Amino acid sequence: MTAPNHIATFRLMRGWYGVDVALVREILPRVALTRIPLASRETAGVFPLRGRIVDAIDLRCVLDPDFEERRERPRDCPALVLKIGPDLIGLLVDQMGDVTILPDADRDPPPANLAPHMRKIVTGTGRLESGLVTLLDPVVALPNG
Amino acid sequence: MEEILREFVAEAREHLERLEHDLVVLERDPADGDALANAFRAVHTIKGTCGFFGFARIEALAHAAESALDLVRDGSAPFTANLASRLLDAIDALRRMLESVESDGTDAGKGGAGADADAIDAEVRELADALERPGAAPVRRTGDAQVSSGSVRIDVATLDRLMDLVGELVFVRNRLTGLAQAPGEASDARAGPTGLSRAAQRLDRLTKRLQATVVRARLEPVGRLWGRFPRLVRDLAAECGKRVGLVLRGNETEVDRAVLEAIADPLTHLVRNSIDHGVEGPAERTRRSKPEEAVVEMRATQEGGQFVVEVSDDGRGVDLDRVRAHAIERRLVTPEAAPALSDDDLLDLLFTPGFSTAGRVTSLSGRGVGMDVVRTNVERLGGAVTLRSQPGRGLTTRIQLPLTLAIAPALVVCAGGERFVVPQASLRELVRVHPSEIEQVHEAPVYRLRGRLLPLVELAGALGLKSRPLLKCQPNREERSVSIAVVDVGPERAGLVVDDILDTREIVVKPPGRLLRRQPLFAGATILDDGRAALILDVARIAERVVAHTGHRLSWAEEEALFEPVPGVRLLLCRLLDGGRVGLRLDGVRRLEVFAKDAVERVGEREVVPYGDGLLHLVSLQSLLGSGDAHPGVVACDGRVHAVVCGRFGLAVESVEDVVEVDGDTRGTALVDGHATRIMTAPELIERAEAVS
Repeated sequence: MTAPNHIATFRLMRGWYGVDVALVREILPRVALTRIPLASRETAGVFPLRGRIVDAIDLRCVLDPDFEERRERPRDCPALVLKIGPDLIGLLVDQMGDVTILPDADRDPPPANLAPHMRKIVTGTGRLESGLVTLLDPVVALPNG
Repeated sequence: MEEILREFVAEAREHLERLEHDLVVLERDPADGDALANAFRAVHTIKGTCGFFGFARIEALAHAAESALDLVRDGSAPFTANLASRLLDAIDALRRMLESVESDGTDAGKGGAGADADAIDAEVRELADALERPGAAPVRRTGDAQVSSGSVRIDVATLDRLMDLVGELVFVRNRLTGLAQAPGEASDARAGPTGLSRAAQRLDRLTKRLQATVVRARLEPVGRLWGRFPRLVRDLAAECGKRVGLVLRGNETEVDRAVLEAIADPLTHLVRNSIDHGVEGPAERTRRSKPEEAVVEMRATQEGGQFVVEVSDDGRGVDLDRVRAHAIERRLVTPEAAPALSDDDLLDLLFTPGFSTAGRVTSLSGRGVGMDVVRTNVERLGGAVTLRSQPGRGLTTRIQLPLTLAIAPALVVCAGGERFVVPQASLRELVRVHPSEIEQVHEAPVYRLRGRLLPLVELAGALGLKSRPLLKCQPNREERSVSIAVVDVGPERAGLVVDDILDTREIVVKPPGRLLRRQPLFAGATILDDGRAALILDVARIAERVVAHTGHRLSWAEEEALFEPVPGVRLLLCRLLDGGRVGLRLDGVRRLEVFAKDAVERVGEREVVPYGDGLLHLVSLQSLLGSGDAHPGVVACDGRVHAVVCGRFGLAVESVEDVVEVDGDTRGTALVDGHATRIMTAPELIERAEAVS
């Protein structure tokens, strides 16, 4: 992925993350989620968006392979809608952040001691005034993406 | 690819398809001047536009074809079968080049350089040479040409977007009508209850119109699909050494794109079957004093909101004795039971997976995969396949499908705390039973429905959701009744046990996204009135997962017919405005509708409501029975109109109470559920309604 200058940030559990704002189609304060039975762990369900059906991903399960508690999150939670190829994908998050500029000077490569499963997903880290954000490549983060 | 290029490819494909058709016509009747002129014009147009885009290879080949046709046109060369074959080869080559234009913008693949381009150049030269030498043999036979159906004038994305809009509009309409019917909320609205309900009506009407328009925009004439068959029949007949003519009827019949695409393969299969197994060779036909040339006929019609295609041939038909013998051999029936099988039972056996009566396996068909795949594909679209065989005289296969797949009636059920949608097409009936009536066979829950064991699938459990144990109930205890949706699983039936049956409604079917697509138990999703998504169940897949197929038995319907000499009929119990009760036989009843009183309009003496594309004539059911007040009005006590839709009439009743099953020979006035009930059929009532209106 080329170095994005604008990033959209969000909080998941205790960490702050950022994605390239060019992928972001929409920021929804809450979505009405319908679960998909027997779907993979990361697949949180589907929700309607202006007449379309959008798949939702629970990033917590992607970031933490041991993450179990799917139910702890309420069914109505904020989501970041990304356009990936022809599809819209909703990333469920715990809290929305901002859209900010991240100059290249404030951008670092991923730390060397990162867990192996995270190496593909994390493209780097950014230093913002509010603290560190982990930059993600959501295309890689998708199940079988 | 640029828009203009895409259009060029689409148009060129259309021309090629027409050209192919004309060539096949010409081959049969070389004197057909119209076909020759059309063919010439098509080639000429392709040549012209290619020149404009600079596709030299396509142009060269089109030019050679044009020259060959020109010689025929001025009478200096005959139109021979040989020439037809060479021209058809050229069409195949042109198609391949168009594919390459579509993928990378050149007519030679991968930037027009390298080995590919050389090979194509050589092929073009060879084909062009062959076309110039009248006596030369056909260059080669290529495999099945990929006939693309992608030539649509409207951008599909625009169409899809339109469908999305309609879906949204439907949702707003539903919400608004809900608001209008709940007096408490409506009084808060600034416009007041009447304004609100009027607005709701307008929205309702608009929605229906928009919906109908969009559905129509998705329709395409069947002729688009017919285009590929003359060539197919010609090639297959040549391969089998038979003489077969093709008759295509109903070119103009319109049907949804998706339906058209979905039936292309099943139809191809049926045509192959007809030519390979159905029709006899010329010698045998002469022996049986049939014309030497066999006829395969394809006919498309619209019948009562359904799309119907028939493929028939005048071949030998199905040898029922051989089917019977084969069924015994394959142990599908016992030798004792076999003689009792009716002709229809035997024909139905042809749909059994792996069942083939073909004496030999050919490259075309006879491998025992086929009819079952045709049936599965058609049923998955909510359609039906039936066979009609006249031994020695031919076979007709009839496929019935809904006109559109985008909007469908469906049932909303609840299981494991989630709502799911069951398409009406796969639904047989709904039953509510006491838990003690559910029995088990080695832990498998079953319910005895009219003497037959219905395997039960607990929906929540099958989907891995929280479920209520089915078999832990004590008899005679007060327990909530169990709701069972009886569904078709191929020829079998199964009962889906659900927590609750919520509602029936028209849903707008949304295609699944990339994640949902991976979960095969769901056919897509839809958006319900409250704005939440609900998943559409692929009922057959779910039941298949749980109900083991233990070889073939007679299908449910057949066995039911064998065991119950007088099949029951289902009655819709309606309460009349004067309190009387009528049982209306369900066959012939289209739908049940509820209209707001304000939606009713008067046209002269008649009362009508806008309905679908047209008007529904409201007639009170009571007035048709010739009892009480002659014009009792159509509005029920709750201020709404409850109508049973039969034909173009809405028969107004006070309320619809229940659907019950009674003996098939129950007529006149009978005791149903302890009440005197007058039994009527839809045709009787329609006849009476026609008489008074």
